[in-house]
Amino acid sequence: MREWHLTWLMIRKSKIAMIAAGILGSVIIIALLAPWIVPYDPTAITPGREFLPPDNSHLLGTDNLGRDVLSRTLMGLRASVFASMFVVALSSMVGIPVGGVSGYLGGKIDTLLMRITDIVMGFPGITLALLLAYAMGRGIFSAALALGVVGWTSSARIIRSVVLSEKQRDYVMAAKVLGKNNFQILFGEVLPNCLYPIIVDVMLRMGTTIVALAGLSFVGVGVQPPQPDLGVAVSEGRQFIFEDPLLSIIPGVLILIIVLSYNLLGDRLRDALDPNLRRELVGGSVE
Amino acid sequence: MQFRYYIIKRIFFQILVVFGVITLAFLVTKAIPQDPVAILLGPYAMRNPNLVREVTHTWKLDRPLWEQYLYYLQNIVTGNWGRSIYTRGPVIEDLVARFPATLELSLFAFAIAMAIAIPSGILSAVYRDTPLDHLARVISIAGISAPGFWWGIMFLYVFYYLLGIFPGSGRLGTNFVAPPHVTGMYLIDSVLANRIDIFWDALKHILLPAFTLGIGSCGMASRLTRSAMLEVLRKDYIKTARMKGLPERVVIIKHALRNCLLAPVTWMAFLFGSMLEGVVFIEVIFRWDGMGQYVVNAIFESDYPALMAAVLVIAIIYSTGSLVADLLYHVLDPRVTVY
Repeated sequence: MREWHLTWLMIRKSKIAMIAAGILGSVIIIALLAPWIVPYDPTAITPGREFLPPDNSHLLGTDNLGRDVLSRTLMGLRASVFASMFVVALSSMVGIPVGGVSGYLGGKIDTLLMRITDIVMGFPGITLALLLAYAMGRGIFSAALALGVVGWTSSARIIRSVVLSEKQRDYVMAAKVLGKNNFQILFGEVLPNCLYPIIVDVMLRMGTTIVALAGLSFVGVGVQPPQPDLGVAVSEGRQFIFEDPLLSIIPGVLILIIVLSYNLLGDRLRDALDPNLRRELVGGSVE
Repeated sequence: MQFRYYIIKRIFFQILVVFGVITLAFLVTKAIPQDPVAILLGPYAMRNPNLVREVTHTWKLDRPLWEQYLYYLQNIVTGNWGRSIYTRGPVIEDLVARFPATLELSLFAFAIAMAIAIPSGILSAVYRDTPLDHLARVISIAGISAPGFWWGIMFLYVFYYLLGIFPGSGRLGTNFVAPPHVTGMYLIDSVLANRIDIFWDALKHILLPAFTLGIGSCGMASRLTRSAMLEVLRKDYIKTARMKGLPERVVIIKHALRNCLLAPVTWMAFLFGSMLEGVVFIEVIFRWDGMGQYVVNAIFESDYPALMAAVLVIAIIYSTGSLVADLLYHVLDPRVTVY
């Protein structure tokens, strides 16, 4: 409990982290509520009302087919946010056990798993994801799956190094004495203590995943038009960049803000979890 | 002795990685649901059972999987990388034509990125917490956060459309012809052929895409350099140099600089790799005739031979790049082994 309290205090100390957390929180809420708060159907084409500048009825104007940009952006946001959460969850579910088992058991299994990890890492991620996403049929689900398959390596590496250092700690020895088997120790004792690095890693990866997903959609392998998505929006807007640059600018700026928030928050969180800094905080409050 | 041992181990491992990549590419194409024979022949020819049988037999598609794999390996090694369905030419030729373009773009982008990042990082550290530092920090983070392809579009809009400074696409203007092929990289070839006008044109064309490609790495490298420099500036030998009465500039340039460069250099492998991830998008946006665009094209034309070959080449470049960087790192600091 105290740990969480300390973490919270450290986050509060940083205005930037608070702002970032606030932005992310709002983004997630908006993404959740999107289908209910969109003023128009995002795919509704209204001929004759294309390229309208922002006005009262269309807060962000309309695009090349007369669709309301605000609605498309909101639904696109939703798609991007949830798809990237899926990807990060997937890659974590693969990466964390791999890294944990590798670090904990060590020896030949460790070497083998790390070799496999290096081989997968040796492949340029986006290219592989492109290939896979196409192989599985274009669409947001395949894209998400592809990115998940490709992206587990970084979390595996991080978890492994954390587990390696945790392995030496006393509570592991105590659990062994109590007779718990390896599986119980790893998943019941060690990994819960790795929660913080995992959270930081997840935050930072959310950022890169959103960009990667948007990239795949931009190229045409992710979300398929007319379904809205931030990457697709940039791609569609690109054709009309000279007539109506807003179409590409808006989704891009959104991606920028979201990724920025993830990066900043993850960064501050990482500082917050630094044991040295925490000790300072503890020292301060005890005085 | 140990050094050589390490190099051998690392190279051997790299071969393993490339091998794994080749196998992965093979498996992926096997997983694709479409029938490669149908794609090659088209709907009319498919109605001819003899033709179908012939193609299937030539491509060994009627053999068990492991036999196909061996045939695949054999083809790769002998250089028979198939014919592109789209261009109807040998894939090898297509790749050879496009490889220098991608290489030129990546190298140039990386060079620009480092040329900007390292000085800016150093300046940020030296003038820490001044407006300069904050500005640099904002730019770096913005560079990392927004997707490269978006930056590309924005730059195109601002610098090409609004300001008209840079050309919008391609490697050369339409009124220019490529210089005689020596390396395939226009910047080099044009100088070698003593055609400075082509050189300038090629330079103008490469600047925007290179800059867009390098932004992400530039931002990261700048931050890394900054923290490395801050670390170094705290060290005792710097204090000693100052106490000796040396002017600040000498302190920084002679003493601090060398030591702070180690950190960003060690990250260069990673930076180059992550930059390469974006090359596909940049090539598409700027219509740069390189392998990235080739890959995207192949995907949409379902051009499997081309796709497999191109992905393979990209993967090999990627892992070779990290091999070179790892070895370089080991040369600089033999105490460290990267894995």
